[in-house]
Amino acid sequence: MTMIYALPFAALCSGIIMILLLDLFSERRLSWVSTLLSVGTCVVTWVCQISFYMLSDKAFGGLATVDAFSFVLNTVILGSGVCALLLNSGNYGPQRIEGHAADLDVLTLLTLAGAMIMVSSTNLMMLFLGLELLSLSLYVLAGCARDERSSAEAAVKYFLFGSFSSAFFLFGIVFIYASTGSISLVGFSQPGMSASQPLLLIGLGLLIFGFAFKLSLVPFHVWAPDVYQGTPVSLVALMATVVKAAAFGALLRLVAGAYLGSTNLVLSNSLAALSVLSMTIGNILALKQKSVKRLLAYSSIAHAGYALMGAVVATSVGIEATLFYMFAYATMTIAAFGVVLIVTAGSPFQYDQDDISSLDGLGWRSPLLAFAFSLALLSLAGFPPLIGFFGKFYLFEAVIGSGRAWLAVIAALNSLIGIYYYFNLLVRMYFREPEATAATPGKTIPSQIAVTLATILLFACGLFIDQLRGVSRQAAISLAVKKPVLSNKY
Amino acid sequence: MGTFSLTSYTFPVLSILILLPILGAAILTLTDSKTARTFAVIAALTEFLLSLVLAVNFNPAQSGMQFAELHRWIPSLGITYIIGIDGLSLGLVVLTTLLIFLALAASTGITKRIRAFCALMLLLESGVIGAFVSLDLVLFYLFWELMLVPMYFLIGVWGGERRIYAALKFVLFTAFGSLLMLVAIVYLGTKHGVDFSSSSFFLGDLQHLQLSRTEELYLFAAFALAFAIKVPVFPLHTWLPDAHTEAPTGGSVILAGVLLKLGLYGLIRFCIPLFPRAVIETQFLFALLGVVGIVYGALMAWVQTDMKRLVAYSSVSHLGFCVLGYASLNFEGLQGCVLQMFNHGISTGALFLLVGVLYDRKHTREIRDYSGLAVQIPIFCAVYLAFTLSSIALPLTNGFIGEFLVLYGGFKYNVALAAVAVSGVILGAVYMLSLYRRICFGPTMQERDSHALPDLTMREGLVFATMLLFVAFIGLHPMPFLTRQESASRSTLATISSHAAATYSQLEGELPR
Repeated sequence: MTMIYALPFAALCSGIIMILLLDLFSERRLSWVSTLLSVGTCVVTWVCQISFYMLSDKAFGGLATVDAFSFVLNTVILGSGVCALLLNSGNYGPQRIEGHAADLDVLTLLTLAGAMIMVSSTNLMMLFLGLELLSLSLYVLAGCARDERSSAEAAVKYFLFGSFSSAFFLFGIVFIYASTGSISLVGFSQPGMSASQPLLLIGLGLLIFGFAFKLSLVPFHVWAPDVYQGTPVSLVALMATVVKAAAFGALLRLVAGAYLGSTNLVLSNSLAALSVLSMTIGNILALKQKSVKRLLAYSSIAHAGYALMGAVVATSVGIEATLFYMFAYATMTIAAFGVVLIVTAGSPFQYDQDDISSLDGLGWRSPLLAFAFSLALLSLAGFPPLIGFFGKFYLFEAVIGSGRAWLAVIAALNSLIGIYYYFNLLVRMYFREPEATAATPGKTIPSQIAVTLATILLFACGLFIDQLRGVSRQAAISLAVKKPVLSNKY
Repeated sequence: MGTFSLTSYTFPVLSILILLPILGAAILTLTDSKTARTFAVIAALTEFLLSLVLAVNFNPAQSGMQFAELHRWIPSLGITYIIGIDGLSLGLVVLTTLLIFLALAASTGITKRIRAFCALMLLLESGVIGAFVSLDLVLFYLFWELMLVPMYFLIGVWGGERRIYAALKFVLFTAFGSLLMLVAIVYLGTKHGVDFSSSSFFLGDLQHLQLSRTEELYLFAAFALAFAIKVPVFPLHTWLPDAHTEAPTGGSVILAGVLLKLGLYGLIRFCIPLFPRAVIETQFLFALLGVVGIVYGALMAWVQTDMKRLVAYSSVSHLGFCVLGYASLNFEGLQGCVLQMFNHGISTGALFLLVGVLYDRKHTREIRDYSGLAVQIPIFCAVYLAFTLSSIALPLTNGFIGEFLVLYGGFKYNVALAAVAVSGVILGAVYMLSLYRRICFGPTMQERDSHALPDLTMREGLVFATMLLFVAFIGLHPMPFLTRQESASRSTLATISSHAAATYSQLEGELPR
């Protein structure tokens, strides 16, 4: 029976191998074939795990679990992956390594595989495995534009910071094993366990460091703006969405299992501090940015801060809210980065020089593109009836419902700062006249499909909020019914 | 805690009023620039006629919400699509449709990107009407925030030189208040979920909440801040002069005529039923701020050299009267406040349109560039005089009825404050008539281009004639308006009086005797 649970991963890995082999044995550049195959792989993977929505069961001998929670996050991850693959297709200059078009797609799929492992694992080593798979693929992807200095810089920075944080993560696992005797992610909820053991706290703290790095929370965010700016835009979309979804998935599992006794307050307060710092500093630092990609990087930091509020309260509503926000955030980010890709692809502003002025007058040059970007920006700012508003609303509901209204007030004030710089981009697009020398956007069909899909989701979801909330609730419930594994020998 | 009655009508008039402009805006994208304005004017006219149908079918004798509609939207959160109209919002909805129609008809000065302009005006109309008829807090918030975006674009794309600064200031000020209001709204909804086992954002349900004194004061503060920024109440008014001056004519008309009323509407519709004790406790503060606004606005208007800025400050002054009317919390004051909101919309809207006419002719808004217009463009000056007198509240104009009622209610509440407010009437006459004297009388200016200034065109004349109708009608026969507002005012005051009794008895218990 448990073999069925391996089916999605099997599908994903078969797809990876198939694409690699195809690439090895074909002479011509078949970039659209590899895109098609990789998108197909993602679709098949998703189909394989539809049935998991109703389940809540252990897999791989207790190392992982299949439940609605992992289904929801896998959907977000695979969906973002598909959009990233679409954005990445086509020839965008030096990104495509000569004659090996499929490498980037394979690495993307490996990233997705790592992310999927992360959200399904209930064992810390399994989690680490997924984390490393995700990270290593992304390190390579960050540096894939081999002719660009900033891309190499991004890769090295990401690799160095990432390795440090993985080391801390491992160290944290060691401490947790030393204090509880198990490396189960949900094994903290054993009754009778004293939660104030110093080793346990240190271990949890180190784990949180690792997560905070991946989520680019302040003060572990320093790598994010440079890496986001140096990486080719289509891959930043992958980084910004998939990594956060995976890391939040693992963090929520940890938090749901570890809120016990006095660990409760320490964990919750430290997460609250991270959340407040990220929201505030992320938004403030975004105010002065002249580069669109850096601005979006800082705004991602702020949004990670907002989403963390749900983990701070860790009630069922909190977990639902963070899950919903992951979906909302993925939609908005893909739309935003997709438009940035299209706008910058046709111009010399591609890597270091993606100045805000490339957006000048976009509203009158390419109205549809600007409209999509406007919707994405308004959604990021939290304007109703777009999905970003409902995400924030859900988070406020979770936070206020558990008595932390001050957190909501801080988030509200930070949203105000966000409105300022998002609207500044709107100013650029609509209130300034286009330069005569402005480049025409480099549209390709797949990238347009990705942006259109994301944009439609942005406002169409206003009609389906109830269904989406129901899905989130089901996911949160499946998380809660986890029975503590008393003697986990792994 | 009054009961909340809803009366439905078979035909979903209110939903159509909200959706029709959106549909119009969508169709506008398909038209070309030449026919865009005509189409938009026709759409706005249809909307206005529909709102007149609504007004005619409104039953003044019935209390509670009429033309109500209820649909499930997000049941798990308790957010329902529930809308309805009563005496308070009826006048405002009619005012909105009227002003949008007139603003579109008069916006001949817009030459570039006409389609986008008209589409944004129509979207704005949708948002504003939606805000006026929403009875669910989240739905209200949705429309409230939604209005910001078209207004931002209207100021920022078609406005004056400092338009980007003005537009951003407008958005940030308003968003600051409304984000805090969002936190308060979520708090109310979740509290309802805790107390009554199902969260709800419907105004009728939330009225039954029992709030502690601190809770009520904080929540009222959040709501009142958002509304006070919009009104604007002194000292939160600093966004207004910039936004009004830099906006295009049509935008200023809507901003002054309609958007500002949303603040007062919110105070009466939401704050009084939800936080009556807090309203009573802050009554003096609001009355004081209203009176300060009256005098401050008038004094600032007196020293302006830019005509549009003068009219903008006069808005602050006139809405100070409305705030006084609201804060006096008695029948006359409330009636005066609601009627004066309508009157102010008409008269200030007309004043902005008149300034716009002058700007279209000579491309300057400085007062010193105009003199002796009475000789050159007499019809314009006659119309201008009429609206000046309406603004000053001369008896037989609409302004007189509103201001008189407000002052009557103000005197009933606090004689000292009302006496200071009366000085605002004098000051209003001072700056308005002084402006009139400077631009219309006096020596005629040598026209540099040596061709005469054209008088009002037929189109402009019709626009002003429509507004003059209202000025005269309300001034001579205000009862149809007042009777329609009456039941809403009475039920609002019923909430206050039931809590006033409780508060005073509380105070008596606390005070040492």
